[in-house]
Amino acid sequence: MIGRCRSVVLTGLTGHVVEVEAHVARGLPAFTIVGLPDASLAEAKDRVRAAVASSGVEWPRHRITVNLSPASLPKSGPGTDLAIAVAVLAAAGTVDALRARDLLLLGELGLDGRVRPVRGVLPAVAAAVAAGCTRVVVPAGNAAEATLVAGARVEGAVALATVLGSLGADAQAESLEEVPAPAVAATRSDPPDLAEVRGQPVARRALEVAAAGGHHLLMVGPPGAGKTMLAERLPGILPALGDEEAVRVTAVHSLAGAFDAAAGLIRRPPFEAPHHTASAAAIVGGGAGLARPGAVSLAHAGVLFLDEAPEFPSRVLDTLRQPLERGEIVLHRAHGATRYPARFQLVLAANPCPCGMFVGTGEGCTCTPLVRRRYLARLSGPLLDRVDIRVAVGAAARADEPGEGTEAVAARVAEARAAARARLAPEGWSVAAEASGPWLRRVTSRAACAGLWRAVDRGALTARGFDRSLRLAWTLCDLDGSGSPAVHHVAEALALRQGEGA
Amino acid sequence: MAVKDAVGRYGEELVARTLAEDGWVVLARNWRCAHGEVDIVAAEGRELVFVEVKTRRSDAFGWPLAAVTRGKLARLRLLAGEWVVTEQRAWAGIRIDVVGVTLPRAGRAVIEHLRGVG
Repeated sequence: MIGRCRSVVLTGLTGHVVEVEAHVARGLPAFTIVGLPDASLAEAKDRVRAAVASSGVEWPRHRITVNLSPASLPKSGPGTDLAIAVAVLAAAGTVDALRARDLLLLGELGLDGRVRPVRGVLPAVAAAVAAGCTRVVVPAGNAAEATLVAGARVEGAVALATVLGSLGADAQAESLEEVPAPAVAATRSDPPDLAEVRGQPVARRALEVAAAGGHHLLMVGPPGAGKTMLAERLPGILPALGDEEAVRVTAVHSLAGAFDAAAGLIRRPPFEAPHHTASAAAIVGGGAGLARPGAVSLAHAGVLFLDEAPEFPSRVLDTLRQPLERGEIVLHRAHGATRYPARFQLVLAANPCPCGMFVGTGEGCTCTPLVRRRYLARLSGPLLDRVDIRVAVGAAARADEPGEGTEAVAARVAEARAAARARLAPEGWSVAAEASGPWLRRVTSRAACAGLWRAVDRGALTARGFDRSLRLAWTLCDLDGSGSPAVHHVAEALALRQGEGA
Repeated sequence: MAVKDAVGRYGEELVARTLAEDGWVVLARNWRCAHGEVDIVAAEGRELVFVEVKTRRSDAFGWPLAAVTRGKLARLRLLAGEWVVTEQRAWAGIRIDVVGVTLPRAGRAVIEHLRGVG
């Protein structure tokens, strides 16, 4: 007899609907799983058998073969335990095989027969719905997460016995407690208010421009000047995520196990601040078998903040080039390539020199000129080339007044973004940072470009720098509400680009 | 004789009788050589069958058939080869069967016969 049901395995964020087939034949008792299972999936044999016995259902005493099809796709993880149990018992005639056929099940089984939560339920259920399987059974602990997917009819399962019972098996549904999804340490709260940053008019302006145009930002300043404070407040002034983006961001966080389903989809742009001792694998993603998402993917549609950027090993910083270029990261492993989204806004913070005191007249600085020069040179040219805004953050003074709050700035940013979208949408872009150089040069007035050409003639600006400054100028004019960049926009863009005082 | 040996012998006896009733010719019981022992060697028509009998009084320590492991099957194949060499007769076919016998405290023994397992 053949029993069938469906499940989902994930390759990165991509869910594949898998047909779980079980064949029960006369022969010496045996249990084989085929279809490229990895070690964690091969262990399902023992978990499933114990869970079935604990549910008071007899395990078929025959030769059992389970096939996970398509057989060529490598499969990993314990998420198919529940589906394997149902398929085997359907093949043995213990449960209604016809009803099991239409089910898609996700979940790990405990030896006591409870259904344990698994990671990545959101992308898995989304893939199921996209493939037309709208009825899904998920672990009770993941039910809240699964219902975030539009169009899914979700059933939360506490124990295997209840699932089998609903399919017509005579299972003992012992009163088992639900296994809750693992608690997530970082609860989502509103980002801190920009009003708490005193003074720093130049840096605040740079932050606003960066938010409005999606430009990458470098802040240079002495310790304690407020670089980290400013960076932490950037997600607050960015617009909330749209539906599609929210699902993608939530899916990445679900896969990383860093997502609290009770609070719903992640709507606020995420903020990731890896420490400078982080390895390349922690930044871009990694791990044995199929790689897990790293900081660049967790920061997708949000902010990746690298504090003390020159302290990061250059090997690690250079791994950022691919995601900065393509908005996604592809990780190659022996088992295949995994693709994760990684379109983030990069914010770098750096001290001006190793001792951090080279500001103003530089009197307090104990570094030699050579050491100073080498310090910022650790940020490689190709990386800095992609950073549109470089700004100096001076030490705070007592007289500084509290500035505008997050709300007021966010409103201006939203307006500027709306203006940019209206203009760029026909070309398929949404923020100025994405616009192509030739197109920008075509639409910008000759008078506005003149200042930039002079800078190029002087050798102060490269050809790439020209395009980048032009993008900045467009963002500045969007913030102003003017139709196209004027000379003063270009002048400010040049100043921001070249790092006034940095 | 230990109780478990007695149970085993009883199971083999039962199986040998059942096979004979079905028209099989039992050629040898507990045939031994240097490599081990075959419980029953029998002929079903022109086919030579080596029968391994597993007897249990309950399922508490696993089903009788689950006790026949891959290693056990490999040894049975080896023994089959030895037997054929020793006896020098022509057969239409040779196969290995496993018979599981469960002896409940009350009621009839349950016999499960698997043909051609190895």
